[in-house]
Amino acid sequence: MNILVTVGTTSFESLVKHADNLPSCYNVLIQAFNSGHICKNAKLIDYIDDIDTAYLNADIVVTHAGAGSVYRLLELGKKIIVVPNFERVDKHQEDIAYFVEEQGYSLVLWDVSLLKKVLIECEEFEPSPYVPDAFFKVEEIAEIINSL
Amino acid sequence: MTKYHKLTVLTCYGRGGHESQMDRLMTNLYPHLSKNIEVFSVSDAIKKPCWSDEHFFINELRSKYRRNPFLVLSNVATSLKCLCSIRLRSDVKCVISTGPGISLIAAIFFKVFSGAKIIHLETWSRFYSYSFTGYLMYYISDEFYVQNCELISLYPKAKYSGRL
Repeated sequence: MNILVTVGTTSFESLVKHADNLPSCYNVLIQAFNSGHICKNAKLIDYIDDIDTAYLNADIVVTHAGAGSVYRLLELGKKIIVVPNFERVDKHQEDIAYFVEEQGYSLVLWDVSLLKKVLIECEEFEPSPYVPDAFFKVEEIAEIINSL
Repeated sequence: MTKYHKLTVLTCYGRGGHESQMDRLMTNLYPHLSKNIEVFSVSDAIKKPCWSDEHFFINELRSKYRRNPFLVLSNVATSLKCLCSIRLRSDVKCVISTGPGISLIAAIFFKVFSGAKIIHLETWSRFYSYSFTGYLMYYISDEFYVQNCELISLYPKAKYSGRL
């Protein structure tokens, strides 16, 4: 099974380390910018140019709870595990993690040490379909600006 | 007669998610803007967006990993210097922000010194809690939009906009 772990451009070393310790039945690719961890099992890269293709090639994507990444993955209909990054000073990633869990869009990994357990759960998990309420204020904002 | 030929809209955003949101907004908004409007951008993202006529780089105001008030003060000072140079060369009549911290400084600066209209879109990652920037921008901005309807209970006078 192909697992993509993506942490974006912010440091999330605990997730990188636990992803590297997953059993060999998982083919793990980790995207982590400037990670200091030396991987023993997984493949680690700084940055993926064509991230959408990487998303589509993965069976399950384990993603930090950055909203941009989460929404993109949900829009693509991928099965995901969302991991709020508590290594940051601010804890704002909690909000979106609660949201996706409550709505049934994904599983949430609240404790990174449980990655293997949640990955097994995720294999059987059936996410609710994500239907976004698209932004509808473009014309209004344009009118405000054009009338200045 | 004004010395400026164009009216300037200044977009303010942090790199990462805030940048993605501004890019989604401006990609859709830019074609609707009048020809006498130019768009500037100010951010800690290095890349100049395709919809921006001129891009200004400033350091992020605070670190994501360590609280350092001295660094914040230093970055505020640098930001103000940048905003002053923008004001000298353009007629900023509107500030659009998607957060975080630079939005506050730019909004206050151009509201006070240029009478600019302030439009803020609260981040798509908040559902149940205030962001520091959003909490203050709610009182500073002329138009305050929330992308998640759950936030209306925290910001009763906000407009729900749907998600970028």
